[in-house]
Amino acid sequence: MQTLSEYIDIFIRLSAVYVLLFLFFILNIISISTPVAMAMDIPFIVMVFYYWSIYRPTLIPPVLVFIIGICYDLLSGWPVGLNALILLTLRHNVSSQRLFMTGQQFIVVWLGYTFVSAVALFLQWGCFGLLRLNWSAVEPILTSWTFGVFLFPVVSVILHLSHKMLPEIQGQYSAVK
Amino acid sequence: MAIHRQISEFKDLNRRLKFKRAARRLPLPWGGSSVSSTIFMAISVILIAASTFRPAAFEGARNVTADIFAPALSTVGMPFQQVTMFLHNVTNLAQLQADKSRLEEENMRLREWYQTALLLDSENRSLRELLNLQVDSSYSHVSARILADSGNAYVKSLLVAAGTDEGLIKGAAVVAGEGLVGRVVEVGEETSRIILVNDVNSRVPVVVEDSGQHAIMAGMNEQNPRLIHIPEDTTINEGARVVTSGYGGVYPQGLPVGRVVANENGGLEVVLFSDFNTLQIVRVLLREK
Repeated sequence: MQTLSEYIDIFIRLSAVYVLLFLFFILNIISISTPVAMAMDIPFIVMVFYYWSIYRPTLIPPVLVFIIGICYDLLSGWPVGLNALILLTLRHNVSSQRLFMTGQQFIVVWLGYTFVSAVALFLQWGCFGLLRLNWSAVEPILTSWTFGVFLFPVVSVILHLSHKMLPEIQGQYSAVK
Repeated sequence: MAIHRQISEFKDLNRRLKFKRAARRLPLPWGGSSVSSTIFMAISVILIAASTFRPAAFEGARNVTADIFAPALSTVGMPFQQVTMFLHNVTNLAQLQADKSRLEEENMRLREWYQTALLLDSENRSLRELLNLQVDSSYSHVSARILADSGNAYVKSLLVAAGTDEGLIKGAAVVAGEGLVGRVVEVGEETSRIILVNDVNSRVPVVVEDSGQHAIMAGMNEQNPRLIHIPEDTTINEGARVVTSGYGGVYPQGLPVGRVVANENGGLEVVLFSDFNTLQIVRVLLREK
């Protein structure tokens, strides 16, 4: 009975993480319309994958990243596979740097996100332009990127709270104490 | 007593170890290696190539995915739509006052035009009877709530909560209260995707009302679509109303679209009557059989 209750406990804690992931995914699909600018898509999913790639990459195995990327492409009208490829590249590269990133102060992680999201959005823009032979305006992408950079601390706090709920894993690097 | 305490501590230690082992196994054990990353990246590249050369092959998958996610998009999207509307209303308060006086003046002018229109309508009817002209105006409509607005920099489209169940068909024109919005490009059972008139793939045959000049309104993924295929010697006045010409049979004739403005490059753009940022419900026009 004890073991079963522990498994249920872990399941509930993990569910919180995946429910949050799903919510941010849906938010990424729903463009948020602002009075000063046209509708724009804030890269919430990039924030989530960036965070978990550093602190707990086992939560987002490549197959999950691939499925989410494909769903995003199918729902948002992107060429199928484009965002899956970008998110997989992001996960692969960021998780390879996690030894360095895990022990850093938040400002360094934030700067890292600033760079990573810029690269991800630039890749989206470049790949889309090449595939459709149509170069979209850069201003809306810059606006999305800027909003994303300013919202990252807020999203990080939410993800950090869900991270604290997770059971600690021996031999894993974690910034959450 | 000491032995009991030791046994109890041992049991506790054993329980903690089991818990940690379980925790280590639980977070999705399959495929965390760079090999699986590479495999999925390769699959992604193949899918990109397939969707670039044969985009129609993924239409079914797009419709099914949209149908699956429709309830979640609707539930999560609703509060955001309300907040967006509220923000728009608040920021528009100052403009409302200016609009009110402008509308009062316009209303006076429109009353005069209304009388003229009544006279013209009567004249038109008698002329039609004389010519025995059949006007194709038999359209019904389906109202659909917007589930998601994928108005990003690359794709200008809307996902609406109506599909084949409501009788929607591919290619049907979509309008809002003010004017043309776009056309249906993908139809699922419960959801459909609408391509907006400012999407780069949108081409609408239009006519500029005051000059009668025909043109194609081409989306550029910017706020205003452009007017193309206009002869060089044509004079088009700024502010002229643009309506659909009905050529090609996709859009019914005479749907209001917007007004002509000149851009900084000397080209002509159309300021759309429909404000896509505040849309919540659209009407899909269906030709009655």
